[in-house]
Amino acid sequence: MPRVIVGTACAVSLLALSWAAFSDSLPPDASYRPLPTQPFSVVRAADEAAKPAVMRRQAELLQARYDVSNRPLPDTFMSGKRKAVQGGVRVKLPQGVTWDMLAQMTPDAIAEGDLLPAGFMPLPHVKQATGGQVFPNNQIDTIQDREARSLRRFDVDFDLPDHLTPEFPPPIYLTTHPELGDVSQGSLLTIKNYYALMVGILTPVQIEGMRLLLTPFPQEEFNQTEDRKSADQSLGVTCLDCHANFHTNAAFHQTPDVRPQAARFRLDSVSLRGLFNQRIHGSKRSLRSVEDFTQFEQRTAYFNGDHMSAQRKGANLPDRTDQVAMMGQMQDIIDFPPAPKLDPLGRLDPAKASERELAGERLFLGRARCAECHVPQTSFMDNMMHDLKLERFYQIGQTVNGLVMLPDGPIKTFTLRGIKDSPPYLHDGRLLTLADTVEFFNLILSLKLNQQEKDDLVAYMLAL
Amino acid sequence: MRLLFVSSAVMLLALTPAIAQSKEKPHSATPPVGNRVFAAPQTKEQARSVPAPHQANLPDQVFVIQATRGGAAEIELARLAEQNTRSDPVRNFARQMIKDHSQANDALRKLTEEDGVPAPDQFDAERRHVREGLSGLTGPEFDIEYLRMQVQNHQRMAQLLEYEIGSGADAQVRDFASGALRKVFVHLAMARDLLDQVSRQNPQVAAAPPRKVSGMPTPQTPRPPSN
Repeated sequence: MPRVIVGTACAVSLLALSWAAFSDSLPPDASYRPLPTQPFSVVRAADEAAKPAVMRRQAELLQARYDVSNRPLPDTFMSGKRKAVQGGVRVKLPQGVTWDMLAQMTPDAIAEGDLLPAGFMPLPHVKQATGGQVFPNNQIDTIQDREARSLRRFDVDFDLPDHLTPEFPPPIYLTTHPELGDVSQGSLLTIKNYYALMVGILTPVQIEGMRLLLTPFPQEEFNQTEDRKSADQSLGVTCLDCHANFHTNAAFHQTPDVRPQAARFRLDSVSLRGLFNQRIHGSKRSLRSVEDFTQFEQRTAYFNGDHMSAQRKGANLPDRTDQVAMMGQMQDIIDFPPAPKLDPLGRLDPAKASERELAGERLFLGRARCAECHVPQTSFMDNMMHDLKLERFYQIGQTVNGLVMLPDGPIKTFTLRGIKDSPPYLHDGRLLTLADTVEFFNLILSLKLNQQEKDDLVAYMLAL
Repeated sequence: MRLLFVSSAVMLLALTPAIAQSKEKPHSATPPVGNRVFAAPQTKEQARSVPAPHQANLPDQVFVIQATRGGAAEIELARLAEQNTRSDPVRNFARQMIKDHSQANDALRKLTEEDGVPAPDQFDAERRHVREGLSGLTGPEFDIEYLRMQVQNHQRMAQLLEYEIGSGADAQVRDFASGALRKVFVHLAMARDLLDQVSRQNPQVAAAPPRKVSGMPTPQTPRPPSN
């Protein structure tokens, strides 16, 4: 190396080293949860006083974005037949704009005109600055009744109307007992009833896995310290408090994988049905096994990816070789709901399907491009993450109810099997109905479908 | 940290019809609703759980100081760019930075005074260091280092603004940050595109070992002998 270059390189490294000493990093609370500064009683009184304004603000956002009315599809029910499936496009359009007009526009033109329907943008947590797990009232009331354990927060309530969430309690289907159908007996699984319900159906290892999944452990908002959002010192939450009956009750929290707080997007609880065919887990983390997912949820769903905070409130780290394995094996036998019109490889049986469903399948496999990720043969997933690049359609950096609108980046492909059972849709629950999802993908994939084709796709997805 | 442009959130609204016609407020008009458990105990309130105006908490103060320093440096370095570049697009970019950051700095200065946050040094050691490193360069060498630094600075500023939006207590400062963030992303995209363009036009300069005037240190991996 010529001497001049060596000399320059040395000068450069000195310069670089000295830069580090001058640089101010952001304060630690940009990544870490700070320690509390206030006594519990003061925080609770202040949070309760602020709650009406918080809930009003979220209600206004939902009203502005969506038609949240109760408009079920005729004769269309979720798998347990306890709740009707909601119909119609619920995302509201900007004034003077139609879906067809939008479909003809380029992403740039939509972004420049600020014409992307707000309901297509990231959905804020009900209280972005605080975040944390928020449970629907049906879950809160049932757990209070059966376990005398409170999942109610004093600072926020659940924000979506009940008719836009999954049926409750959801049915449970087991890969080990397809002949039985729903084995929930119409009950929500709790630490009190699981044993009586499952002895004779599950193996000892599966029963122990289920017990652990139903055992409350301290969590960021539900614990015994002053930094909690439950009125009483809480025993904590269970895995199945969100994944009710191994499905979902639409409980939500924020992604543990992003900082700072204003950038953390909302996460709608995902169903655990069909986990046995799922090869990546976590919307952002792409964990490669259900065992990893089960183990790491204590760091993430429970404590927001902050092991420092977890240590103080009571981290529970299940033993990998024993407890995690059993929890994983239990989750791996949760089946999809029956889909009698599908053949063994996930295609519609022409003898059973309607013309509209078959038309929908042709679109799904062809021009609508759905099957490029939602592959029928692999349970309507591809076990990949994809970036839909929604930010082509809006200007990033806007703040809505405390959430900064940023690109979603790659998110894992979710299964579409039993999809009518798990509203709301997308990883953050921003889309309320299947018709909304069709309009969303029609726009972002530039499909230019007509109304008949959109309706056919919805009919098809209801059959999955 | 550097930059900032908008003279106020209100002005940004007025200048951007796209936002005005949006159904959603670009940033909350309601009082900040943060996690009270982390609020400073002596925070005065105008209503329950609503900090009184100009109750700057620690994140507000950190933000104001870092953004003020960053904004001042942006202008200073853009003036240097006007002198040292031989590229019209880079000169235009620098002029845009001067224009936008001058407006923002004025608004920020007003907020600083209202909140009683001591005015920071206009040019701290870090920025002085960067300016000295850049001032010895001209032409494509300057352009590439300047633009690499612009990309980094706007990335860092975006994180600073997001931090303030999520953690600040002063509604005015938070609104300022909300209004500014959108523009920071526009600047970031401009700087990135321009850097790509200049690098393509000057591949040998772009491929030279990093000068390190513009960034955090990277590990110096020893290279094997070429022969």
